[in-house]
Amino acid sequence: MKKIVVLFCLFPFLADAQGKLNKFHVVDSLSGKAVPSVSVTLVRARLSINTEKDGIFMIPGNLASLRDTIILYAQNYKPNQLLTRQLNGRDTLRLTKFAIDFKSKPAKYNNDTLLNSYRKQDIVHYAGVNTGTAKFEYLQLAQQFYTSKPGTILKSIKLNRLAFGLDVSEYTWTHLVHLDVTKFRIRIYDIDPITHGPGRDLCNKVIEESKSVGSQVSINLKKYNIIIPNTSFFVAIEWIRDFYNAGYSVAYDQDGEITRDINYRPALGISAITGKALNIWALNFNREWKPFTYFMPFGTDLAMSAIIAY
Amino acid sequence: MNPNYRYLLISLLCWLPIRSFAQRVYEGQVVNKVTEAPLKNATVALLKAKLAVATDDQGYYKLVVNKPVTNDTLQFSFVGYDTYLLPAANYQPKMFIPLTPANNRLKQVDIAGNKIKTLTLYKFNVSDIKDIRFELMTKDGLVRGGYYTTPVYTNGTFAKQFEAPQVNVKLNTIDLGRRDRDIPTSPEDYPLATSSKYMRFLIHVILPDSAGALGKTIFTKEVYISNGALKITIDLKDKQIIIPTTKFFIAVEWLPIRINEVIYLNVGRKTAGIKKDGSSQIEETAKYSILYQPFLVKFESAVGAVGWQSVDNRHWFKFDFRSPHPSRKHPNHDVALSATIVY
Repeated sequence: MKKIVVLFCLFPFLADAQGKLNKFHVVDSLSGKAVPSVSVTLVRARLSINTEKDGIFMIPGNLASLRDTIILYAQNYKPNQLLTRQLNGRDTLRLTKFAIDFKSKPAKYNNDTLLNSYRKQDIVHYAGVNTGTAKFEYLQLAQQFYTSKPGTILKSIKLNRLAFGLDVSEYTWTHLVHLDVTKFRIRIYDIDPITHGPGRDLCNKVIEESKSVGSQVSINLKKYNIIIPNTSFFVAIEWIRDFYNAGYSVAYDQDGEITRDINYRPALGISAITGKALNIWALNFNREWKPFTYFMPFGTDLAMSAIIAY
Repeated sequence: MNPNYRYLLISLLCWLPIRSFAQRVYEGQVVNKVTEAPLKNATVALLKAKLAVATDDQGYYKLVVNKPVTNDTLQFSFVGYDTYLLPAANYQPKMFIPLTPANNRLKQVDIAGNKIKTLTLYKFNVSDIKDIRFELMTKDGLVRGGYYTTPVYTNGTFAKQFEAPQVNVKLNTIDLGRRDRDIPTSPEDYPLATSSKYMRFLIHVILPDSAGALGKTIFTKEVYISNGALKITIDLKDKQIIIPTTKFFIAVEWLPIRINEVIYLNVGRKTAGIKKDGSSQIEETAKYSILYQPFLVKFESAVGAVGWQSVDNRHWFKFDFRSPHPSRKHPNHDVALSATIVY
């Protein structure tokens, strides 16, 4: 079975309109090897998918007549932004790696602190689902954390996500447990000094939580030795918008008509906190970080906690 | 059994002793045993843990105990009512606690009752909206479970028709029942819909037009609920709502807003790829339906009701009160929505 067909199926309406299929390989500019799990976004069409490990994706239609912008991105690579008509006649697209030195000496830390604790029982809302009021058109959601001093180390995170079939804390599962499986990536960011949103990466390793089933997800980050240089940092969930995670969301629009959209798991729990200080940021299809105001004033934080040591 | 699940089961069993020391939450509603009206400011206490809370406007309480004490007792008390004791071990989620009025209290009510007539139209009891599980044996010997109540929700407005004994009655209170979208049919099941105590909706009082259909709206109130109360009482005494006709309608309008969002799990199918022979490979996937609270309660009733529903509040269609399950107790169905009038 060819994986590239999988990507084609994500653009069914384009496929209906145009018969031609344009196939692209995303490769590392130096090694020429395929870049896995590349985020491919058509900005105007508001479509975004991730390639499989082979870095291949397809766009149906006549590229010369398509008026859109395509953004290619993978962790540790510079984003590559092109007009769709620039793709015409090409079959290979190159991404250039960042040259970042993340070397840091392991140090001894004695004290742990839990940040942004939440109660699972209080979670009633979830982000990451297309609803009747708004489409979820974001690539990442980040939770902002605050520390009392710079130079701490991030040891672990815990988050809550929507899972119906199995919930470890309730010791129950159903025959529908397979509908809850998901995979996603964790990104750690420094605070940007200008926007005060997520800035540079604090970890260049790919941290992927794969085949996650339960609603509570704990991720040990000790081995990555992630040093937090400032008193604020961000932990983001990066959606892998591929077929493994793809499902549907069904809602009613304002005219009472049923809408049906592709929806990517996971859906993240929103902490039951009401306040003015918003600590959730979202990365949109233009790769811009914006405050995520969807649940305000009810949901100012993701149901995500972190343990730091100092 | 799948080896993964076997491993999981073993892991879970290892957890069980730990969980017995975990936090416990007690929540429910305290009501007058005679009238089933909510009791505001009743005291709910855990005697050994020495914790207490007062009930809110809906008679709702939530008591969180971080260190549960073995063989503790829940005590429900209110001035003028007999105190009710419940062993904490016998607590069930979202219980209704009926407090019996003391004798002197009952006499006062009788005296007051002679001065003015109070009547509840389409009165429902807490037992009607409480989820009581039933089991049926099918022809092939399988036991199938379910609940007597079913959720009612629209993407617009639901209106129920009422008939007062005379014109110019005063509308004092509206009561409605509420439930979760999905309630597991067995203890091993897990609900397939998210659940939220928060909701916001509109209540309308509507008069009939000249043809007897829904006409002019004479009163609208936005209701906000932030607790898990199953019976919601909307006090309208100070609104002075006089209904000039015998027939009138009370409507619940759903608001498609974020606070009301509930996610319900369905099974969808997606094309996972194309096989070498050209055929599609189909996989099951999660299909999330976005629904909006409240979920009203349809229950089996001795008295049938008449209702309407609309998407735009202009074009109304008759509401189908039939249950997806065949009747067991009563031939008719009703939606738990009552009006208390005085005249």
